[in-house]
Amino acid sequence: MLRVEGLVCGYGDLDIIKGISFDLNDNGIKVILSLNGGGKTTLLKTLSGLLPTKRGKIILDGTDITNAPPRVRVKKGILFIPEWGVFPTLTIRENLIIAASVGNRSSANEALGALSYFPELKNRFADKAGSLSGGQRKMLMLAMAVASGARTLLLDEPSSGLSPSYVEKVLEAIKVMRNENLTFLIAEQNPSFSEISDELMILELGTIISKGKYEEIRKNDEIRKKFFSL
Amino acid sequence: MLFTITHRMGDLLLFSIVLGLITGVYYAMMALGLNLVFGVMKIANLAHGDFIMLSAYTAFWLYFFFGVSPIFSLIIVIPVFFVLGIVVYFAMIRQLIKKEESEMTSIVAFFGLSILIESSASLAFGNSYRTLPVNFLKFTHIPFLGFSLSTVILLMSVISIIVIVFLFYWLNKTKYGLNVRALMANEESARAYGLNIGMIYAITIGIGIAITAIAGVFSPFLLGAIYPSEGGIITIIAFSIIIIGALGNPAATVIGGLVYGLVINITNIYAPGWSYAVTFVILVVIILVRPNGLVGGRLREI
Repeated sequence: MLRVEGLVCGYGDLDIIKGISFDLNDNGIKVILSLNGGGKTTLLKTLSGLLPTKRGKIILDGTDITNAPPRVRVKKGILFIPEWGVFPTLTIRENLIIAASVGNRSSANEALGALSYFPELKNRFADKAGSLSGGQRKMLMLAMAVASGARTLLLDEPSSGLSPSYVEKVLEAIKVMRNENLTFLIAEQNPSFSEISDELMILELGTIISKGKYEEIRKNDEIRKKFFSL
Repeated sequence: MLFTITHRMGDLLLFSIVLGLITGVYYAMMALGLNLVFGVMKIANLAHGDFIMLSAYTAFWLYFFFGVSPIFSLIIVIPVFFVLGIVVYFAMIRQLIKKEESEMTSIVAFFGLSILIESSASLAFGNSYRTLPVNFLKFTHIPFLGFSLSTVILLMSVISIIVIVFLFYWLNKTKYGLNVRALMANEESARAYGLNIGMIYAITIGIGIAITAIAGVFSPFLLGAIYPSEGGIITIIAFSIIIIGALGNPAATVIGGLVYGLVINITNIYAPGWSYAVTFVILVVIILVRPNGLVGGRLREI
């Protein structure tokens, strides 16, 4: 379980996330719904160690990882997947090998096994990731997450730049991956991701203004108009 | 008579093209370390030429005091400059890349390093011109197309090819090289996946400076005498080569080096004394027409 207590973070003197707390339970899908500038990327980067924590605590399975560097957090099974988190000049195979190597699963065959979830990439492992469409890149990012062996995945806007049909494919892939005992924290502005969440958090200007079940939160007219009308 | 002169001019042009390609691989190797470091760290090493100068002096003093042939001085020069590169990383670059606008601050910092190295070399070695003897090989020249081809230049070319092949093997066939290419492709993801960025930087600049030092050992045979302030013009030549190829793309440096070698050698026939001028005119044209270099559009790709 990932526990976040009173987290404050940002850039320089500017606080972007202003003291938030939540628990991310194992095998769950928690979605952070936020508009642009709400602080969702800053939050995920801080949880992954790419940005320093100013105040508060980040605890993974009882261990305080607040000041641990990204490398240590990845080894402990928590992985941040940036909005465009592939290595475009490397082949699909090389992308998977990089991902697998961080989780000590450096065998190429083991890494390529991650493509079993994503059949349309299966015959393209020698192609450069930069030659893939936006949707296929997102698939590759998820395949890399599987190859890494990480158990807790922090996904930053997996729907960005995708057509509605590809958003559906990404949602389906996440649902399938969830059955493999993976835990997701997904930062999104696309409300369709809320529907697959166990718990939804609404983040506005660095503060959680609402959290709970999707069906409950959606009953609030103000939130519905602001966050669910995309 | 006219036929003979025309025939001779044809041979001369062909000889210059061959010489351009032979020396071109050396020029590529000379600039390779600079572009590798720029591609991985986005650091413009303005002291690049000074490392070549230091390495040339190392080879000179090893010969002067101990009679070590330039070819054997590589055994000492390569590890020493590899370590020197790592020292430069920990002493300077590690602090620089943490700063905002690190690309601009690195230019100023490396300019300062260049002046420091040049002044120190001037104090330590004096300002006399030094050189290395070419007769460390059994044959100094061989006939080619009716002209005389330096065996040292041929040796430099062979060593350059070996170094270039080694670098691309390392980058493309080893796990460490894969990590370097991943870092070049997407730094944020490389950090997110927990790659040891500091170690990759340190090893890369170590290899970059070691390759530069190999070029430095042989520099007196092509770039002229060794003297403390030679680094400035060498740095400009190296930057020209990597811009002609593509900034941040080590593979394109080979193209840049070959183009530079051809231009220098061909203009030596038709416009002797204008070689540098023609080269820099070509550089300006490339910057205007293809800002990303001849291999353009594939920035930071290998």
